[in-house]
Amino acid sequence: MTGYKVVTDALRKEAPKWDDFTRAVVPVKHAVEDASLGVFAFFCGNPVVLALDINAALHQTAYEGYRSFMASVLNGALDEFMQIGDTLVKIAGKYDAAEDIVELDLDSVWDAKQN
Amino acid sequence: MTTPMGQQPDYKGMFDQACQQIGDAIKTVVDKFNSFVKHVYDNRFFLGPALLVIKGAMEKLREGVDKLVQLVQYLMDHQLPVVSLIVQSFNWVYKVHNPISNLSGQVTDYRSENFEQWTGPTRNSYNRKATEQKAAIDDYVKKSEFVSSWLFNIVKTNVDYVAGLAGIAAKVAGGMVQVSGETVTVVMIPFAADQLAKLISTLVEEGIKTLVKYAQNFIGAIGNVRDIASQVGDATVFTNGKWPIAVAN
Repeated sequence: MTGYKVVTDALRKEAPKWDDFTRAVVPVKHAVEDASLGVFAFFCGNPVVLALDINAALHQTAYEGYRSFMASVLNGALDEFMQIGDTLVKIAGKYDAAEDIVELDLDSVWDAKQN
Repeated sequence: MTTPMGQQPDYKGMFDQACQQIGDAIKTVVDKFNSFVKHVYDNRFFLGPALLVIKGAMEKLREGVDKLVQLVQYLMDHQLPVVSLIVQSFNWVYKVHNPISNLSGQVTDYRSENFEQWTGPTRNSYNRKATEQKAAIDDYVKKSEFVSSWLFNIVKTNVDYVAGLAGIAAKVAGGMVQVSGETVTVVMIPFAADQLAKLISTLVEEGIKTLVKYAQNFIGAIGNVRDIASQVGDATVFTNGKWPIAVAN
């Protein structure tokens, strides 16, 4: 008796959803990359006349650190979403190829280098 | 899901309008000041010793006008960058938060009902990976909400500040027009100079006190630099600052 049940077409139908996720993330990534702010952008009050210590550079640096983190983390999302879609198709193929298999090797299934 | 967007007024419109009002007012102030100076200069021989009295008043008046001009000049230099701050605050909502939050519910909204028929170890492993991805999506949404509300608080202090400066510039312009130093008779010039200097000086000094409060609000809004750093450092979902890996390479 096999340890699984599957309708492989359902897996193939699910795969494009993850491709759509990737397509949805691309413009977001561009928006975050374009969201840089210069040091002048934070406050329009003259600190000399107002006699206040306003360290805009510190805040600009903090914001830029956050923004670049938010941009770089999305690179991972782009890769993973696309590969999950591919993996679903790969899993469906493996099930179809050997109808009597009991279990798939999960390490090879979740590895983009292995077919 | 609710977004911070729903509560945001038209900050750019408010900011631009205040800048426009300030530009108009400062032009009046500078024009009136210059014509008053010219009026005094043209009448310098008639004024004689009274010039000494006027000189003090004119210096005080110039000092007040200079401070206002410095505030306005600084604003004009920062006007476009602050507009970009406003634009980016909205972008974090419209172009980042909203499209990413739209993905969250779709993770478990399968495109075929038959997907639910899939059982076994591979399905379990898929579920675990999909759950991790959903957690990452949700955390990304939370982080974009955090940064947009941080920026909106900063935007608000800038908008309050320019509205305050617009009010002060309008009052000073009104004072300059009201006293109308450039048209007073020669005899009245010393009185007009004194009156105007006192009025403008008071308006500017009182105005700066108000603006300092807005600037302190800005410092309060922006003050949580550590908050923003701790959000980046929060590695519960993004281990080592990376999106969770589902598929090995």
